[in-house]
Amino acid sequence: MTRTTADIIAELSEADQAAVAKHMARIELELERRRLISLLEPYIRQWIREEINGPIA
Amino acid sequence: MTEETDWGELGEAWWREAGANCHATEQQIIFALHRHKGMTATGSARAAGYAGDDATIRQAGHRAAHSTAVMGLLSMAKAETGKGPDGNVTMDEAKQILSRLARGSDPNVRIKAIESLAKIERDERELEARQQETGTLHDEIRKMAEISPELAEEFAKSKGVAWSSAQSNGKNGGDQ
Repeated sequence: MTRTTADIIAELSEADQAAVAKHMARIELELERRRLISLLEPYIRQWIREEINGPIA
Repeated sequence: MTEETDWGELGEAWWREAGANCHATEQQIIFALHRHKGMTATGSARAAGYAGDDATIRQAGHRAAHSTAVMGLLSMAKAETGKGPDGNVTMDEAKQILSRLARGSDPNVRIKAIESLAKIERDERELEARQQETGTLHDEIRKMAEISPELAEEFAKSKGVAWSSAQSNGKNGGDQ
C-alpha cells in the first residue's frame, strides 16, 4: 500500500522534517508562480503588443 | 517540378518569398529546400534538376551549397523552424550569415534577416527561461530526495510534477 506524504514525514527526524517543509514550500511557491504566469501571459503579451503597435480597435 | 515537390513544414509560399528576398533562382530554392530537409548536396542538386553526370552534379551541389542565396535561405529556414539537419548550418552559423545579410544593401533582405535574428533570440531566451524554471523545481525535489526519495516521489506525484527517485541520481528530471 502506498503511504501518504504525511505518513512518510512523520517518520523523519525533526531536523529532516524542517528541511523537507522548506523544500515543499519552495515547490508550492514555484508551482503557484507558474500557474499565475500562465494565467497572466496572454494579457501581458497583449499589453506589450499595444505598447508597441498602439491600442487594437 | 512544383506539383511533385514536398515543401515541408514551411510551405511553398514561405520558400518562394524567402527565395525572392535572397535573390535565389528556382533551382536554388528547390536545392535549399532539400538541403534543409536533410538531403546531401548532391541529392539536393539532383532534386533541383541540375543536369550532367555524377561528377558535374556533385560540383554543382557543392557550388550551390556555398552560394550566398542558398546560405541565406538555409539560415532563414533554420531560424524559422529552429532546426536543420547536421551538415546543414548550425544555429551559430545561421546567426553569422543572417547578421551579414542584415548589414547588406537590399532593404527586403535586411528586414527579413533582422526578423529571423530576432526570432532566434526570442526562442533562445524562452528556452533558457524554461530550463532555469525546470532547474528550480527539480533542484528542490532532488534535495528532498536526498532526505527521503520516497517522500520526494510521492510529493511530486501529488503536485503533478513528473519525477521518479531514479532521477535523483541523474542530472535532470522530466518537466511538469
